[in-house]
Amino acid sequence: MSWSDTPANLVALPVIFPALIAMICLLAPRPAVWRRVLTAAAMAALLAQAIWMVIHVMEHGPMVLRLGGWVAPYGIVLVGDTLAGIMLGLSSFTALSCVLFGFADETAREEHPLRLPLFLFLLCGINLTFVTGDLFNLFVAFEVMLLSSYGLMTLEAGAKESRQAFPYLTLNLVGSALFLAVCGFAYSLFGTLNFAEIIGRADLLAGDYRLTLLAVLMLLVFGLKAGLFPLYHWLPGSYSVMPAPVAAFYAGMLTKVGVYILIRIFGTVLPPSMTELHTLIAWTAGLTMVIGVLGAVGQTRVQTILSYHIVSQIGFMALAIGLFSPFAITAAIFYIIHHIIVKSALFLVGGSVIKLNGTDELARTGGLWRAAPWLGIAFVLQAMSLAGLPPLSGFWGKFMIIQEGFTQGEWILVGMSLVASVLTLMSMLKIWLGAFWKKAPEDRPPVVTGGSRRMSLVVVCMAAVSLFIGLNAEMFVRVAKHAANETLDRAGYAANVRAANETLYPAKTPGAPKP
Amino acid sequence: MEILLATVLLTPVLLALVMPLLGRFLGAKVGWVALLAPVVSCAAVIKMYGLPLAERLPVNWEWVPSLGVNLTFMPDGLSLLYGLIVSGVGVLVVFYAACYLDDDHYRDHGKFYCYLLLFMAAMLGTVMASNLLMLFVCWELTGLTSFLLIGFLHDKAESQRGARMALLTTGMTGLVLLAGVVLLRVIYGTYDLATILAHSGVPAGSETLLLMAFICCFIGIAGKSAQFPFHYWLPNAMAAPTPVSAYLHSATMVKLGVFLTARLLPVFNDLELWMPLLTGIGFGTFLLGAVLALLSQDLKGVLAYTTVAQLGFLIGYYGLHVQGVPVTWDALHVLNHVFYKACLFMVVGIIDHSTGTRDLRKLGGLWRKMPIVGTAALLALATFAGLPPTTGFLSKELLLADLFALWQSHGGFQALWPLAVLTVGSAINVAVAVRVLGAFFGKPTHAVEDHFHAPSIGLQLPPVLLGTATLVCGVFAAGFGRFTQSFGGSPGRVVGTTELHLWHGVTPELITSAIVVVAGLVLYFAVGRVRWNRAEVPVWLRFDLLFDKVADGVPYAARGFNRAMGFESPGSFLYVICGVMVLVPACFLIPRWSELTAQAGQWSMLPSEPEGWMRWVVVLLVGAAAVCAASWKRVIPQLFAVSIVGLGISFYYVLYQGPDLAITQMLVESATLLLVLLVVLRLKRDGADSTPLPTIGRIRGGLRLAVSAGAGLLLGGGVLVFQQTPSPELDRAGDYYLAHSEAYAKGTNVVNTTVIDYRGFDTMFELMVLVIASLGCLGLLARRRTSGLRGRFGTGETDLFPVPNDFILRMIVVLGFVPLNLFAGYIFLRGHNLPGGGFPAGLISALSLILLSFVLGVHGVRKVVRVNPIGIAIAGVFLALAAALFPALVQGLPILHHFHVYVAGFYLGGAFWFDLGVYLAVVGTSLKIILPLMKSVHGLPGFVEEEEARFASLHCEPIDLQRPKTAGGRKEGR
Amino acid sequence: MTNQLEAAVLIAVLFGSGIFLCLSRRMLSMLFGFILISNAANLVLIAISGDPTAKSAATLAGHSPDALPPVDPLPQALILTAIVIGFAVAAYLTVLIYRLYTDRGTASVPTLFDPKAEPVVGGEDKS
Repeated sequence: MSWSDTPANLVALPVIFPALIAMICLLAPRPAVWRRVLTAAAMAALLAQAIWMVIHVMEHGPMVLRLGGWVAPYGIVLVGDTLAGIMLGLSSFTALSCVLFGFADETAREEHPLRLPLFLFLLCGINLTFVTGDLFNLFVAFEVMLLSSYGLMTLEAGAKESRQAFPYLTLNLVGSALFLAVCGFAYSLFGTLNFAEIIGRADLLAGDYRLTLLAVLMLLVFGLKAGLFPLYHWLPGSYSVMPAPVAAFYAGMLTKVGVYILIRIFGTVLPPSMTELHTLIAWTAGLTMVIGVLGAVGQTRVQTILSYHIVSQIGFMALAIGLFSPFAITAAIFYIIHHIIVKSALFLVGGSVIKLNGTDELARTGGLWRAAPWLGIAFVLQAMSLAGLPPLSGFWGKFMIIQEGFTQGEWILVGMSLVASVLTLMSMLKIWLGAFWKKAPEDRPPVVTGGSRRMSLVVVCMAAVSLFIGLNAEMFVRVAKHAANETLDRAGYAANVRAANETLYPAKTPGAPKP
Repeated sequence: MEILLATVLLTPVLLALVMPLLGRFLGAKVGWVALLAPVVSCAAVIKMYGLPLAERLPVNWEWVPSLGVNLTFMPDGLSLLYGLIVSGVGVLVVFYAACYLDDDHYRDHGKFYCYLLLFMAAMLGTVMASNLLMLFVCWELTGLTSFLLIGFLHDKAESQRGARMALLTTGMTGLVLLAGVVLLRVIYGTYDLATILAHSGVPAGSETLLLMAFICCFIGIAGKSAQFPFHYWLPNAMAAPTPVSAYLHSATMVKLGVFLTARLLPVFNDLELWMPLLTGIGFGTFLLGAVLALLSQDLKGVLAYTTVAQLGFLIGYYGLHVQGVPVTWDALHVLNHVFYKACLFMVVGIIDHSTGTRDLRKLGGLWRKMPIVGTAALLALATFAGLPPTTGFLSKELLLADLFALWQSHGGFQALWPLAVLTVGSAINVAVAVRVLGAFFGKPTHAVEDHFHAPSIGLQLPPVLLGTATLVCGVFAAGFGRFTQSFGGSPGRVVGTTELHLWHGVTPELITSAIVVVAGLVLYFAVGRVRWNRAEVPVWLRFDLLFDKVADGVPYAARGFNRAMGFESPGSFLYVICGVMVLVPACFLIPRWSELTAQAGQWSMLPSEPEGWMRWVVVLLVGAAAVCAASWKRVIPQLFAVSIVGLGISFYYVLYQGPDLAITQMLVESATLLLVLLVVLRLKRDGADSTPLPTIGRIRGGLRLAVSAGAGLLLGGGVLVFQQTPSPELDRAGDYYLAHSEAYAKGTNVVNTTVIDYRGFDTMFELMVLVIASLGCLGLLARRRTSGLRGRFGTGETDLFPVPNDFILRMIVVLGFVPLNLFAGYIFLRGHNLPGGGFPAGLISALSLILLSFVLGVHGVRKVVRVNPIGIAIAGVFLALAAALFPALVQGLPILHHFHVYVAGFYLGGAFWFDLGVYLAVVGTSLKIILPLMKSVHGLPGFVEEEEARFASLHCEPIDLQRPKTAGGRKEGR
Repeated sequence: MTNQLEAAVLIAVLFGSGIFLCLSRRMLSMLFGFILISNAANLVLIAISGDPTAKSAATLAGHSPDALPPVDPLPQALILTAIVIGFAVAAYLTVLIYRLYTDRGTASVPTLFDPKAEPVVGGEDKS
């Protein structure tokens, strides 16, 4: 196999491309239509590329890019395997729908000139976390992601909202510091930061208390990113004040990045023997589910309710990770696929509610079932999917988790998940009754405009996608299963990265790999 | 077979999808189109029923095979029976609805029929399914569609309430059912019903599992069939339009529980719990329902409670059939109930329609107004009361016969108490029947007289049909019996051979029913109509109120819980986070303490060389400064201490052989301090931070101390632990860098080559981070206003910190500017081989410019640097990107692959351009961050003209246009 | 095997006092806290890079075979990146604090999140 026949550089595309587009957008200080077109086109292209990547990888195995052509364990490598491909596809799909929604929401003239660039940078950071195969590079990716997310969060905030960024920021600063320390520890323990290399060296250290300590610290860092109990206080307050398109993207992707990294680290990088940690994850997840949903039922604003539900849904995915079997990881991956789309779609519905009713305070909304039936249909589909009612996408994920839980005899955890589902149904019902079925307040009937119609269109398309996932679950379960097996096949991962060293280069090849 | 099934299931679905569209044009008439679906399905079901048993093959379409979920169907006796009921009653109901929902009282007909047909499809799917999970899927779908139907008149509050109650109850119990189904999967390893039913008896070793599965499934059944304690939702679901009640809440959906009981009978009925649970709940509900029916006044409510009762009767019936005693006549019982209950609901609908009330107290003398309906009602009520010659009589006699048989075989209590319950309950039913009949006899009441308008013939047709059915089937008992058995059996159910007769001699059954009838009449007339009309359901039996209390109470409880969790006070969550970060690792370390100490024994802590002691000196200095920073209260001293720390650390780097680090650290430190100083000065000038905060409580203070001490110990200890590399000859990536830097990266400063070449990818995104940060700061310096787009800002510049008009200082800075930048260039050029590089160089230039801005003012600087700083930054990033992508795009090499070019012995390779990019980006971004902040802090709205006119939205205003009324100091006082 | 105890002590003190400051209620103190914390994190990277005694810097310019062995360059490279990123974050945090102050007229966290406290600047058009 020669260099030319593996288009490995394409692995870097989802990272470089958004950054490039963002810089180009920055060349125009004022918002303009061409920026919108460019951005949307770029995201569509990324989506296509991600889909191609998943197909390609499922046939030919993971794609590995050795940046700078340096020999594998020493330079930085990017690894595009099935899981990464799935996540890339999800991120670009969500980003695309969110920006389209934003376009429908505001005219190009009103749009904040920095929104699209920061959005693209955020996408770039997120994608980097998916493809990177290097611990410190992951740290850098997180920083790109976090800084652009801070920026977006405060970009269009008024005097009322700005303060919500403060907890989010402070918290992530502590997290980043710890992450940096973890990188140092990992380097001194393994002598490398490359995932593939760590795999082998971690196996030698299996059972060493330093390895466990490192794993615990990693769990803390990434649990914070994922918003696991009790590290999630920052989430609800900060998500519910942002403009809907941004909030929707955050809700869809940001915490899921944490979940993805948990899968990657505990599934691929660290040895599977750390059962005590898996148990810890599982039980934390159980608490996260219940407490998050308890937070939700108390709320009275659409966006706030949804923000709390993010937390509880994270619990489901983390529970699947904690159960830690091929089937459980399959469930987790399927759940991520379902959740990202549904959750951001729901946030967009919330945005449309604000647009139509002028507020998302459930006491003052209403009348949307007659005013915007399509929006209503989309909401029903997504909300029931979130609550896990069949045959929507959410049902399959929940069902797989329950089945695995019962197979492993985790009665209490499954019970917790059932309770969480009931409460989820309850608060979704609250939104439905409050915003759709209830009569609109006489003084402010819902105002249907062309903008709100286009917004509904976007949401309906997302609903259609998740309905497709639900009805055509087989395909997605297959993909998820493949991804899960690939993720858990640690030797295979390491071998793939090593194999990249065999790819031939023209002259000037840095020295042969060290024995 | 496939085609038949497809027709049965798909016709309603497809038709449902076009309903809303048609509804728009046809209005109420769309109902007649909708009628097509049940007719077709019904015909198909009958066709299936006509097939000989041999040809009724199971059908299997793949859906999600990898989860063992497929669309498999098993058209056995049970499925066909229910299929016929669903589609057949469907025909009648849709017909009835088409007459009932007229244009002037109702709207959204399209939606209505859409829901109705979808519901029908889901029902058919449920009863035909032979894959447990698919069955569950359809089961939940019926719940969802019925929710939409119940809440169809969603402008009414009680519709919303009923719909919510129904969905939550059935949804909750449905989830439990799911658990049960999954448990069955765990036991039998499949979802395929045929396989599961093929197993006979309890599989060894999984008795408890099976028991749990049974309980879970039964909870699901009870929820759907409104059995105690879930009986409350059915009466409240009566807020739905009457056709819906007639269809869902009498004939079909609530029967699903009964259906599932019959389906899973062979799986569970070997359990000891089978009989007590089913008979207990079933007959208990029968009695309860009867009593509640007698006590309520709303006709629909009465019917709802009788339905609850009848469902209890059916479920209890299955309970009687412990192993050995097969189920024979359930088909008859079910059909009987369908006949009269659907009929009664339709009658009530007619009454409601034509008199405008359903209140028993307000009704009377309807017979004279509408004799046909009256007749139908009379028949139905007779059936309900179990009087000969109706099917109701047959059904009751059969059950009594079963009970007596049970008495013979098992004897004693478990047969006697159901007998007693049944007798009492039926007696009450008779009384209820008489009460309802009261609406027809006597002289018409005002309500009737005033509002009455005659119902259309079409409206009366379905109930009449059903009414006569009860009579005819009753009279020709034998034929009816044979018909009910002709569907064929299903696992656990056998086809009875005994011939049914209306008159079968004077048997104990007959005597019992005679007693029942007499008792019922006595019960009614002893109390008398007047007093019955004053009766009402006692509060302690109103479970629905309780449910509402819970459903509304949970949010309040949750809100309190939130407050307890500290969501309301985002200020204090850092304690939680830091606490966790200390405690969790500690919990993992403590069990391994011995291992740790054992190793710690061999560590040599103290340095041997003198320079090691030098490091100690620096450490003590820095540590002292840090502690001071932490303990001091005032800002300026803190700032001073922090800068000491930064400086000391750069010394420490020097001692640690990191010259590049030292330079960078020092520069970055000064840049940071500059920023902070700007803000601090401004805050101090406004006296924002002057007044001290109230002293924090002792506990909180102690906690704070403990957490921070723990955090410090954790990280310090961690360092000690991890300084021990597992093996001394560990192959470190750094060694590789050292080995190949000169040969391949063409640079001798390995730190620099690492940053620029080996790990250039990190650096590339580090630049992004800088750019992003500067954009973020720009965003922060403009605030979204609540209303209106931006007008023009006044440029009245109130310079809060005027430029010092000091000639000497100005000269020094201006003269220092050029050499500084020359030095920067030097640092940049040597960077690849000696300590230095693009980054420190960039910072030096930036700082020089900022110094300049101190003395010349920001505008002065803009005279020196004419391009917008962000432009410089973007150019830098583009340069770096180009250097990175060049090999990929041109040579097809991996991204960031270096290329070496020498011009007159001067290195102009990829690394050079990359580093140049770094330099530019650093200059640009640091300027972009500091200069606008400086202007804003100086209170120069002109900043807006310059920056925001470019990078801010029309909705934004510069944050420092008007000085905040600094209540800050006083605010902190409280 | 040798440990650099002094590095551990330094990191412990810095991180501890940093966290202590973060838990304070003055935003500026928190800012200082974060500066200390990120410094501590950087020091972790250098502290695990082995004992620098009897080692030279990682610059090979004109080094002779008998020169001291160079230190591990990788952690230093990482620190360089980390320092820069830390600078970006600190800058953002500083500006955020300033912004919050102009919005709320306060520089203390409890007042910031006091449910009763309203922004001191209504967003209404001042021009």
